[in-house]
Amino acid sequence: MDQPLAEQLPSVSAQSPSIGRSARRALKAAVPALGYLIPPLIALIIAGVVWEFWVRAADTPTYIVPAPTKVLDRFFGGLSYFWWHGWVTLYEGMLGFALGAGGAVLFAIVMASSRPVEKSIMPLAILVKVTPIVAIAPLFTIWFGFGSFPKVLIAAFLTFYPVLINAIVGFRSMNPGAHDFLRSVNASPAEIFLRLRMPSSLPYLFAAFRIVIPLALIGATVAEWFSGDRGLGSVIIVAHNNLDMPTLFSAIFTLAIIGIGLTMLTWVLEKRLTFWHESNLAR
Amino acid sequence: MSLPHHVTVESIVKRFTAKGGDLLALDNVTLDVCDGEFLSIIGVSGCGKTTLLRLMGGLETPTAGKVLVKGSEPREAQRHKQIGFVFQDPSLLPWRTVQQNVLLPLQVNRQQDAAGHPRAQAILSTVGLEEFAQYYPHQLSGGMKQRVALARSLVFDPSLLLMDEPLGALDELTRSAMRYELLRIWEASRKTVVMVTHSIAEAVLLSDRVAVMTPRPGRIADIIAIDLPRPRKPGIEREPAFLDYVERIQRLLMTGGHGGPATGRTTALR
Ligand SMILES: Nc1ncnc2c1ncn2[C@@H]1O[C@H](COP(=O)(O)OP(=O)(O)OP(=O)(O)O)[C@@H](O)[C@H]1O
Ligand SMILES: [Mg+2]
Repeated sequence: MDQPLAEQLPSVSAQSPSIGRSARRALKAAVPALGYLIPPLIALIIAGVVWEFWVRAADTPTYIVPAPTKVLDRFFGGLSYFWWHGWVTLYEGMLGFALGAGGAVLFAIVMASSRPVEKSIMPLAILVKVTPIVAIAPLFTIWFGFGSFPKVLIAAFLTFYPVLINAIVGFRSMNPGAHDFLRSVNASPAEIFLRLRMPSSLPYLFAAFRIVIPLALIGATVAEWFSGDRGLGSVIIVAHNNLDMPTLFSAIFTLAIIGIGLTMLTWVLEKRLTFWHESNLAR
Repeated sequence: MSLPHHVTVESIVKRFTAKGGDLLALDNVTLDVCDGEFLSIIGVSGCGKTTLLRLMGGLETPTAGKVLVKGSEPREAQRHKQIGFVFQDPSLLPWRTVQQNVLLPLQVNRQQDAAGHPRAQAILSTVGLEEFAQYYPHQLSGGMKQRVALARSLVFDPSLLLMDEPLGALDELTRSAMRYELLRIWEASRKTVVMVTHSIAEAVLLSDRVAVMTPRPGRIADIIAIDLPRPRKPGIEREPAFLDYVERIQRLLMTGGHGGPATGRTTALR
């Protein structure tokens, strides 16, 4: 209870007995998730069926638009292949996200504590933001080679700015009364940060994460177009060059699954860590 | 009173500089709070009561004049955790349970020990919230939150308690019950208490002295010693001596301390 991490401990049912508590918690998190999952799944199946009939009726060649059955055939036939490349892209994207978000939070801590520092760093941060990162991707290949590093770097750059902006606002958005109370009992700036600023910023951080996590995945994928032979980006480029539409669509399908998985994970984490925030209390 | 002074407010001027121009909130306020005294501050909305309280607690610096707590800067009293603040709005940490909120001041500077938990629990039952220890602030009513804020300021046993309308969010019934609760807590602990209130009856019931402030810029219109015997028991509100004090303070407020005609600004007062 004494470490600041305990600040963020969630509790879904404060009064329930501890037996089966985690199971109930998991269920409570899963049920609304299913509720969100089933309707779009039905819509997706209907769209797939229409698509299938349309491709068959019009006799569209596979190298232009493949039938869903052909895509699924390819996907499930090469599950380990797509999973392996998907893992590479996921790993690069998330490592980039972690680096970019971690760096942004560190910068934000410094910038939120002093306006002059903020004013001197912000123009550089904006420079990073307005530079079209994707245009730099080929350059990164020249500098950093064909491995994962340039992909991680691009994902990190895409992550940095949105997290920085939200973290600065978040670190400053604390209840002034709570701040006064902590000051009146001699809390140090570090204690105020850990016990008040950091938890207060979580809703803002998660708002940024929701935008930035898919972005990091896109960044890694696009970076893979330019170099290397690993990851879904390179699978897409190769399949495109071979007019191998079932493979290309399967790669996109894999990316979509990863994106949905990450979004749901973020959503569950956000609900658990910011259950106290107004946005989660509205009935 | 010949007791030593706990808080000394000497010729305080407080001016806020804002875009729309300066605002003189307090104009030459001088006030002493004795050791172990219960002092109430009363005045119309916006007259500078909160500002005065924040100055005493070292959360605001005066434009001119000085504030001393036990002979030194208020910051020194903060350093020794000798100031318990109850704000106009409860300002609890929403991600902490009631119990964790009450433990917060003990955890600051790593001062929590094994006695922390039972102590928090004891304070919570004093304010009638022992069953709500594991609740989160958003699961409480406004008055309950205010009582948690009170418990949070009592748990580390400060010698000076600064309260800004601590009972403001309560309904009339709970409020009068809490008044006696406050009275009981204070009579048992004999802390020095400075309380801002809008209720004249509350000020008379609880206080040794009542400081009446003028409308902005805030000055002390008068300080009235309440010579009612202690312990004060329910029913005292109907005694003639009590009603005399209420009427005197009412008159002071209505005239803004100038002896002039009523300004009508006092309609905000209960
Ligand atoms: N931080 C600030 N900046 C500018 N002006 C302020 C600030 N704090 C208070 N004031 C002004 O000082 C005056 C006194 O405010 P204060 O909060 O002390 O009033 P109050 O007596 O507590 O009123 P209430 O009974 O409504 O709580 C008000 O006119 C207010 O506008
Ligand atoms: Mg006030």
